[in-house]
Amino acid sequence: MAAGSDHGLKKIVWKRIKDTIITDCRKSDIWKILILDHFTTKLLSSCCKMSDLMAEKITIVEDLFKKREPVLEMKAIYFMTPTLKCVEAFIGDFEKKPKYKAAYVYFTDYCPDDLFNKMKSRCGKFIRVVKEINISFLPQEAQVFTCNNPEAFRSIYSPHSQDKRSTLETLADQIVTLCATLDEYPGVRYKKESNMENAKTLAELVDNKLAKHYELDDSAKKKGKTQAQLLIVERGFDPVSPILHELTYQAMAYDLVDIKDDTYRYKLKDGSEKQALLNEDDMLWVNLRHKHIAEVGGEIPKLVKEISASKQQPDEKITISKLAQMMKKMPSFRKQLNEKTTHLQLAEDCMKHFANNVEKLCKAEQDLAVGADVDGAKVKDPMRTLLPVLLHPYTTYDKIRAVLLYIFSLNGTTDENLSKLIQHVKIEDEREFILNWKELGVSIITPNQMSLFSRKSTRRDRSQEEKYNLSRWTPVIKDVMEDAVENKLDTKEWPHLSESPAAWNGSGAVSARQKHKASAQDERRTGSRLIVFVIGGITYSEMRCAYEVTQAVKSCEVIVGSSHILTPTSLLDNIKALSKAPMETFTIEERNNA
Amino acid sequence: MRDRLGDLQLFLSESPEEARPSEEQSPEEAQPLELYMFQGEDEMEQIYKEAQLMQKEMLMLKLDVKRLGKQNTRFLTSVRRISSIKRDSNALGRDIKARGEAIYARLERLGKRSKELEEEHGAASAVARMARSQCVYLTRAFHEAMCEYNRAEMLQRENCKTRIQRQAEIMGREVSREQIEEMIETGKCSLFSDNLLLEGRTARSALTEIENRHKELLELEGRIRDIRELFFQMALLVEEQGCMLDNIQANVGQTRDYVAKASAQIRQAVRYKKNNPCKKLFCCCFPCCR
Repeated sequence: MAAGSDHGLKKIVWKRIKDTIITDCRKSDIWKILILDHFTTKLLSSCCKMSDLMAEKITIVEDLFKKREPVLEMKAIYFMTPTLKCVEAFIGDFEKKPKYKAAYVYFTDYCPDDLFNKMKSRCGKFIRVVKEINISFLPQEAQVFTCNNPEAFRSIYSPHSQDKRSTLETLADQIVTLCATLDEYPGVRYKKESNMENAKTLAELVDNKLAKHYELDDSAKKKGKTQAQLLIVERGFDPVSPILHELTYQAMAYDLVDIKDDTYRYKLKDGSEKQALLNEDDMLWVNLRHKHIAEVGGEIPKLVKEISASKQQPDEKITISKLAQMMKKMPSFRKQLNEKTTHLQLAEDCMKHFANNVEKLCKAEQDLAVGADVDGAKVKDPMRTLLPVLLHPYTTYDKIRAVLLYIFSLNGTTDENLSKLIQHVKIEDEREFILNWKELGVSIITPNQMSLFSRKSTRRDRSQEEKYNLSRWTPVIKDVMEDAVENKLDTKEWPHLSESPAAWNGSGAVSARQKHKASAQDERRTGSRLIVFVIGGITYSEMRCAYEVTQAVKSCEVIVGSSHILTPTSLLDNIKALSKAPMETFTIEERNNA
Repeated sequence: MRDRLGDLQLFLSESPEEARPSEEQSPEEAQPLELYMFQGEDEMEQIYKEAQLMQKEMLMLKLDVKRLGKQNTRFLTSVRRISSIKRDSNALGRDIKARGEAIYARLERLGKRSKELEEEHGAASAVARMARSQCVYLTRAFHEAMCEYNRAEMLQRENCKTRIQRQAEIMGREVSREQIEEMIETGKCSLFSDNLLLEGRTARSALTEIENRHKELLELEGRIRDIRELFFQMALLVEEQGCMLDNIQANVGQTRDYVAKASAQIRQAVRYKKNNPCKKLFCCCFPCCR
């Protein structure tokens, strides 16, 4: 089972599933078959293992959409999303010739009435249990969730999109299931933007659905608001974080190394291919992922020493000390060995990529992003910082990222300047990489470059914090989280949608400076949660902030999530694709040669 | 969470007539239904029985390991009847070994059976997959139990070493852990080769203590050596299986569309052939009068 923090999302989800699905099926002692669709497969895979299921008397796991062998002696547990496709597949199992003895049906969310009636009328007599357990999000990490919907980006931000409203509704449903799983009824707030309304729309949807959910919910007797707050914000509020080169282990690895489905593939010195899953089962990953690569690099000599020590070959004569060493080779140690090798490789890989881009690029990026150089002197002419990057033969994507940072630091540039930059980077045919950012509400072209109006909000003063020179930028979301926890979020910028519980309202205002005293004021906030949802995708650096803030403010747990997780490359590709018109479907008509 | 069983049952009680037409259809379909019966029912029964027995055995093994752990601590704390405590520890160790080997043998048999089923029914058939997952699950559980044992013995080892160190300090001599390791390795109590004269009762009792600890350590190593073979095999087995077998997504991904057995299809084909209208006509026109 996934190790990690005791109150991680995965543990909570697994517990919920155990309490509902598994407890129901324990009542009859026979073995059961579990049938999953694509989403629930991912969901279960992320929070438990086959051995956990086997311990609960589930013998095999099947795919709902594949043709399955009938097993009439066993009961089947169906865990699926309430969509037409799933319900049709389920009905198909029982309508003509029943495949199983009986069915226990569990939906991840509320089932629309028409589908429910369909199920009822066509195979109702085989159903022993039908419940709606509200879990339709993916617990990615202990404090990170996703809605498993990368398409949402296009759906919400593309000017050609037809289904923005329905995507927002689906996201709202998923957020509500998150709150339900965490047993929270949070106060909802959103970031007010002058030109984008998505946060407001989503916030309203979530608020309404939350109210409806807690009315319909079986287990909760009229639930009042809990000590939790949900903040909804759009990607455009911080365009810098997703394209900056980050130097913490996880963010760097996903940016520079090709990691698909959280699996890192590499070759050992002897040529054998290995793959490693980077998730919370790997304790070493959990410890290293948010550290700066320099610190990870410091751990490596230690790891190397340990590995070489254990590689001693046992000789024929079995002395007791050799015995002890062989004991060390037992799988628990071998597992650790594998993990160490993986991270050695990965860190090496990261550093290899980094060495190509080293000082100039990252330094320039940091200067542009933060607006000041290492010594704190303000950058007066961003073009001077940008120029060396453009002249050096970096990859196109790296140059695009630098140009974007330049534009963001100026809050938009003139058309003329932009054309010159585009020419320089040689992306005349691919201007969308830069221009489409306007769909996210980020200004790219402003007529007057000397705009006195700075849209940028003032950042927290972090000059007291120790930082690496190439990691001076802090994602804006960290400021938001810290302000929210300290109850300092401006109500004009972050309007409340409905009543928030007292502790968050500002009525029980607590001075930030007194946080360190273990006083009664802290007690009010023990176990409170801050949930932050970013429309349009979340980055690894922002995920890291959630952990950092939780660590610093022990009384509040911060959970972040989005429709999906971004890497800089994937974001740039998505932005470029925004202006593509939807693909026309071609139907081939066959002519019958009779 | 919402339980909708009530809604379902309400509907069913309201409309009994609708249920009947579907029942009428089923007698016609009864014959083909037979053909699709689950092939491996008996085998699965056996496998599940075996699995349950093995789980019981493993529970007993775990209890033995816990007892060994308790016994070990007793050895450290009580000074009386060390020999009897030692005897018990060794007996437990032998017990664990015997049980472990029995379970391992059964696991091997189960593994073979599972492979046979795979060949008989195909790797993607329900029976084969059920057998295989039971195998994997039981192997892991057994491996866990053995790791528990290893942990208990390692703990005991460390405790003994600490005791030796402390006793040596009482005697006025500092002993480092590496020296103790050496002592264990060579099997000799080199500590005392230098001290020819041991004066005082405290020194002498400390000496006896250390000797006892030393003996205990040697016996512990002996126990571990006995069981080493088994442990190793287990460990390799688990590693061979790899972690992907425990991953749900990988398991679901491996399932294949079910293809009904050839026999069923042939029977259907024969029936269709018999019912072939052309043939029927043919038979009518030219009755076979033999």
